[in-house]
Amino acid sequence: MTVRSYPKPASALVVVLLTGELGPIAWSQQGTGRSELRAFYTAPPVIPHELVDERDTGTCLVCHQSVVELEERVSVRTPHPEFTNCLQCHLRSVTPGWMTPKPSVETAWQGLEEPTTGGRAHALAPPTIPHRLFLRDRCRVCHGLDHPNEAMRTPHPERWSCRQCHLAGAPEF
Amino acid sequence: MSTRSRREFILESAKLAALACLAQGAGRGVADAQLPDGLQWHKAPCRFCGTGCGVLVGVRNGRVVGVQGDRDCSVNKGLLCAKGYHAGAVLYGGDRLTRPLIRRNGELEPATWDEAVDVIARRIMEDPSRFSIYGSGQWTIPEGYTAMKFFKGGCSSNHLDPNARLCMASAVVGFLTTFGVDEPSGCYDDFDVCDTVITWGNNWAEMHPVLFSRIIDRRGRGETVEYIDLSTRRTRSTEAADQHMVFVPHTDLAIANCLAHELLAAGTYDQDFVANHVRFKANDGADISVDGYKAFLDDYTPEKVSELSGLSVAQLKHLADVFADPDRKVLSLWCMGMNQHTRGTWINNLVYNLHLLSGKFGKPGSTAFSLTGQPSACGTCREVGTLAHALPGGRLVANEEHRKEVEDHWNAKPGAISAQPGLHAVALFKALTAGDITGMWVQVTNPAQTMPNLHANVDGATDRFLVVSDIYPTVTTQIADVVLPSALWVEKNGLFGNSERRTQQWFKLVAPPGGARDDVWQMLAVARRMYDLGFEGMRDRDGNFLMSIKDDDGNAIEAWKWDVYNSVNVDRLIFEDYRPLTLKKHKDVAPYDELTKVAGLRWPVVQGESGEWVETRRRFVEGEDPYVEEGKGIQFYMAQAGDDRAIVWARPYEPPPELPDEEYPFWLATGRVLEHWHTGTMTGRVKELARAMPHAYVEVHGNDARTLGLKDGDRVRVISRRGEVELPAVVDGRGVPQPGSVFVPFFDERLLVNRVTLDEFCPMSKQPDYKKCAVRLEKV
Repeated sequence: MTVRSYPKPASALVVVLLTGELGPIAWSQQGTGRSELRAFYTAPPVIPHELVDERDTGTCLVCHQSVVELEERVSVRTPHPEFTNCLQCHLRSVTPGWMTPKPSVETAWQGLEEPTTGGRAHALAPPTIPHRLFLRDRCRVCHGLDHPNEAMRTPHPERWSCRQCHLAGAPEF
Repeated sequence: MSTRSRREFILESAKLAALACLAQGAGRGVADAQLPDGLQWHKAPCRFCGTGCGVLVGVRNGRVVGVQGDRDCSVNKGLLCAKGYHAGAVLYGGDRLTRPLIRRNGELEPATWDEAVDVIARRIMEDPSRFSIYGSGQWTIPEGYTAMKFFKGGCSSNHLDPNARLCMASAVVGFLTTFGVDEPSGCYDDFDVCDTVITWGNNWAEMHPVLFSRIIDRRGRGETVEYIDLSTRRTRSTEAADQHMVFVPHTDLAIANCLAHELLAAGTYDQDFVANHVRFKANDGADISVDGYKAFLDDYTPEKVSELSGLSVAQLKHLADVFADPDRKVLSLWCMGMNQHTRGTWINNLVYNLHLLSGKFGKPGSTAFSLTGQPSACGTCREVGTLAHALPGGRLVANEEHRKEVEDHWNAKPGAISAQPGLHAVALFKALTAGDITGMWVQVTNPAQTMPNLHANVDGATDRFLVVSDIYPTVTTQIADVVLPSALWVEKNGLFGNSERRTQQWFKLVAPPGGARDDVWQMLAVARRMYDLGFEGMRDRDGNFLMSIKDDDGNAIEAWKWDVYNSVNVDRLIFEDYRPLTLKKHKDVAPYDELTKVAGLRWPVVQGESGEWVETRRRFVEGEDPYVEEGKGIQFYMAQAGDDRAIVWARPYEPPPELPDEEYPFWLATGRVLEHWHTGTMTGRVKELARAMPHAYVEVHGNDARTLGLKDGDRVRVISRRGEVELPAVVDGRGVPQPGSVFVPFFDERLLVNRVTLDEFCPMSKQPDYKKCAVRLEKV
């Protein structure tokens, strides 16, 4: 008989941090691209992996406060660490093994698409920002040199005042 | 006015409404958000809980394509929860109901609106005073008001009750008995400045996540907020708590009395506040002195209450110290834990006692605040009064003067409103089962999933005539005789009222699918058919249609015709008809046109000297509430005795009706999860939400799991004296109940935990207790 000890989550997390191993955490089969994780543009992205701790949402920040490499995965840093109730907005897309996944949901929903680029006033102008800035106004979180996706990194990291040149190109509300 | 000129007028009104809509957008900067592809963002309140978050709904080519938080709305300041962000997708489930269905030879078959309206009208007319309507805290204000006029005015049937009876009736009766008038005095602004927050049996990290974050995020800004989670189960909320105090279910009554005992024994209560603003009453309503109250509290020493409740003496004393500290701003919060309680009214009274005794009331950051489950439980059920005993604006059917005022306002015949209160929700379903009620119209709710003890209260009612207005098939539409496809949220105009007295308006933004139509229109059409068939109740004093909708010039419009209804903002006209009725108890709601400009206004809303409309943050407080007289400081101006005093009640501990025993050794509590709204009818059709929470389960404590040999995913039968349900177990999941208790969420229509629950209710509020009954577990 296998019975989980109680309490689990904190100890599981300690193991992760000490050993650097995620253990048997399931990952989503679908991609982790921007639009694949969102129901529509401006929706909070879903979580592409099983939750380490379903109850204590503060544990998310253990990996997502900075860029952490675990096995072959690299975590993405949150652009709004001041909000700590992460699971308020971010839904898991992988349920724990004991749950039966929901068969696909029949829906005619078509969400707003992601803007592709911010556009430029002319060929030599700096590109405008293609996304809204609410909750996403810390430019270096996603455009710093430590972002896992090279295409996201700024080509001129020595410049610190991003919005001196890059104007908001998406409507702000 | 000739038909032609009336039609022209209607078209003109529609144009004006459209212009008003654009002007409203421009006023708030929304028009600037227009994108080249036609995308526009419009304000609305969220469709889900009673928090009342402001959202911006993105609409393009006649479809909702996104939802984001409204940063101009002070409720949520731009944030939402996962349900709110995905609210747009609830419109687009593949199996939306798009045409009326009528049961013929046992099968629900497609029908025309005309057929459906005719069937319903004739059935109601057969026995109108024994026909009932079961509504919802998700009814918009105009929907509730229309149902009220239809049934209480037109049918002389007070058998109108909402699902909110299952949700916040105890809070209502608690407010009425303590303050003489319903609804919270404080507001969300208090959340930003409190020093200590105490939740009484409430997992707000999942149920009111935006409000939870509003306090917890203060810590991220360097502020110190003490959070004490007083509960029967470990939850997500607990993880943010400084102290978790786990008590034996139902002993909250004794705990509250113990804290009062400590305040009085030590003399640390606020003696000025008590001397000026409070009177004491025994449980039977007799006036008592402070000494009499002290004598009552003798039974509630920390030692005795520790033994009963499971809290330590030190925990009880810490709680008492929190209230005794004159410099500490204390906020108490609760929702279903206190309301779904066989002594729900008492425990509401007892928590107010603590805030009144300690003077932690009416000051910024210090208040006792009842959180609301549904988006318009306050606006519709409590303010419009869609309860079996109530009339609009805090009036009662049992009060002759109140009935006359409402009859006069409606121009209904004298005596049209029956003096006999109708049946409350549980009694209504029992009467339906017994045949004493001959039929029921259900709107915006799903009672075949949510009523307690389904076998006793719903199974036997399937032979009765049941009309269900809904947007998707549910377990309730399955047993209906007529199913009416309804418009949802931004497919219609609407107004909600949230937990903090905020009235929130939105415009229709997209068309409902297929033949789906507004619930208001459905009621107007049936009422008009009854009038046309000669039903006397639908005639007013002058013989005209009782429920006629009048435009700004007082001319009746033919709103029962769908094309006419669609060309006018009927919601505005109904709301303006209702608005004068809110003045009596100083619940003055703002004019409709003012509400179009902002993300809601908190009543009482009165006009200032320069004509501007001013909302009220804190009721009964001088300088904030315009109805408080100068020099009073705090004035409970609706006190029943007319003495401006709130009542501290000596309410005793009383054991719950069913306790675990040898045969049924576990407590069962039911509740909600973050991902799903109530019965999952809407959220179960959103991919992201359904994927994150695919089905229900039973949470078991590790110690009990060891004894029973259970591990995650094992099938377990949860059995009570009333019924059973088989669920997968989770041993250390999102929530952890205390040893000897289990928890099951109720959202899953395939796993109906209400086959198991008890239908005992608070004798004062008639709200059932879904949080406590005795069950046994059998591993399958």
